[in-house]
Amino acid sequence: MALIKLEHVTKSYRERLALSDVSLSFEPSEWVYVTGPSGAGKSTLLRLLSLSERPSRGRVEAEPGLRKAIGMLGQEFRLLNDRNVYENIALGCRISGVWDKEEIRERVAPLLDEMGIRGHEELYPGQLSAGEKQRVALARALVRHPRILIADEPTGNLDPTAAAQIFSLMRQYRDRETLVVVATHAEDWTLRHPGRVIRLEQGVVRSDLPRAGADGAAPADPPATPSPGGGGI
Amino acid sequence: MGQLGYIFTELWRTLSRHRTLCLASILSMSSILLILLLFMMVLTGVDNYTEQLESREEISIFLNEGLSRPDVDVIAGRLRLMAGVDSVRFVSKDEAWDQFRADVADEALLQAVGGNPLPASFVVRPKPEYRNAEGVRSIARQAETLPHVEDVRYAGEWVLRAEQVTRTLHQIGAVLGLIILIGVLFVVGATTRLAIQARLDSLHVIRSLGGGFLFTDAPYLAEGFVLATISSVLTILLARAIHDSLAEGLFHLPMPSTEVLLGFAAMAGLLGFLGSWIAVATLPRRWLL
Repeated sequence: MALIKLEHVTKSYRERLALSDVSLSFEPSEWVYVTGPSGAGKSTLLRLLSLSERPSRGRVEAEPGLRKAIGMLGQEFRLLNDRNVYENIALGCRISGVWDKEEIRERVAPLLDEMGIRGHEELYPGQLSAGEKQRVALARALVRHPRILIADEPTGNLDPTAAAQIFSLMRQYRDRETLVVVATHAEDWTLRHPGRVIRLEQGVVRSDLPRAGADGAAPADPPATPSPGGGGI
Repeated sequence: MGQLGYIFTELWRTLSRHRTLCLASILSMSSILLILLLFMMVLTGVDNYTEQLESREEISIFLNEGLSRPDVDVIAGRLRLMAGVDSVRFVSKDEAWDQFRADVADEALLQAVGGNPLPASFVVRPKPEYRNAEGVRSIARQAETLPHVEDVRYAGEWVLRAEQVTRTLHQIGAVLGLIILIGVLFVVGATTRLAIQARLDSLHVIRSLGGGFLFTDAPYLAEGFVLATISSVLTILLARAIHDSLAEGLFHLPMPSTEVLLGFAAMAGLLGFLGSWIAVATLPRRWLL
């Protein structure tokens, strides 16, 4: 049973055609890359999957209630600079409709450990490294218990170590029934963390292939949990 | 923290981050609200004065010198038959003089006046339905036509003029109120716009996370309401201070009742809410992209 399905979807912005007659289906627990050059339609596809935009033509079919269970992660960390780490993560809860203080605490606490940012709750984004900021952003996306995690160039602003940590953390969630969709220019990630690869060019799906590692086998993931405070403040 | 708590936290965050802006906004709104409140106080004073004038509805009809008692009785009889007359009281020349002496109570001045120059008169009290400017004037006009009547004095003319002045002031008040309404909307709207502009990045993030009305609009609506309400309270305190300082002198500005002041504060709060709502609803589209 597909979690979300695009049927003959076309999306255009005024005169510009961003996606053309795209049909794709996504299952829970899938790890999907969306690749392609700039302007290929990757971000448009992600916006349609996040249900934040409607197609110009065609249909997007999603399971009921999915809108509140979508986590977003971008290249820019997009943290609120006037709120501390805890409040940034808790905001994700509140936006998804969870207001009970205790429940928010129960959701945030394990993520602080998993993301290796325990002890940083009271810090503000300006006091964090790029890697830590992205881990906070990932925690904010995951605190909603997303059924889809959409990441648009999530490692674009990170050094290789921090990027590897983010991929490892996201991989854990693929194993928890979460559909993970990653848009990336860096196709080497598709070799290091195998998954389905959708290649877009000029708004058209050129290929949609499951892919294993470079040597045909799934490579070992980097350590799942980064060291607390990794990357420095 | 519930939804209301979240709105108040966000409100506090905005107020504390933009203290100068909020203070300028409060002072601007207080200034224009003070104009309205002071005008309302002047209007209340004029209304009270007009009411006092209307209560002075008695008409004094002064008679020629040297009338006989039968002549006086004839005039009294004709006065009692006039439409709108409730009672007629005769004030003799001696009674008028005694009353004058009691009022003046200055022997030197009384001796300077010499003998009694005051004429005898009738004091006519109109029926309740005639106790207004028009009613008093109609009785006075009839009385002027009677024989042996030297002069007729009444407060009706003043009442009529005061009523005209009051009507004009009420009209000015309505126009002033409208101008001030627009002024408050403008100030609150501009403040809200500036606050939103200062937090556009945060707004974009919240919108990208799926945050709706409660996260993107409600805090600003609450801000408009709170700023305008604080301004109205400050205005009332200023008006009170002006009232108290004037009370020590000759000029008196009556303070509106508590109910009116509460209504004033509620109206200001509502205007603030409305101003913010307009500002949020008409944000330039490019800000939200």
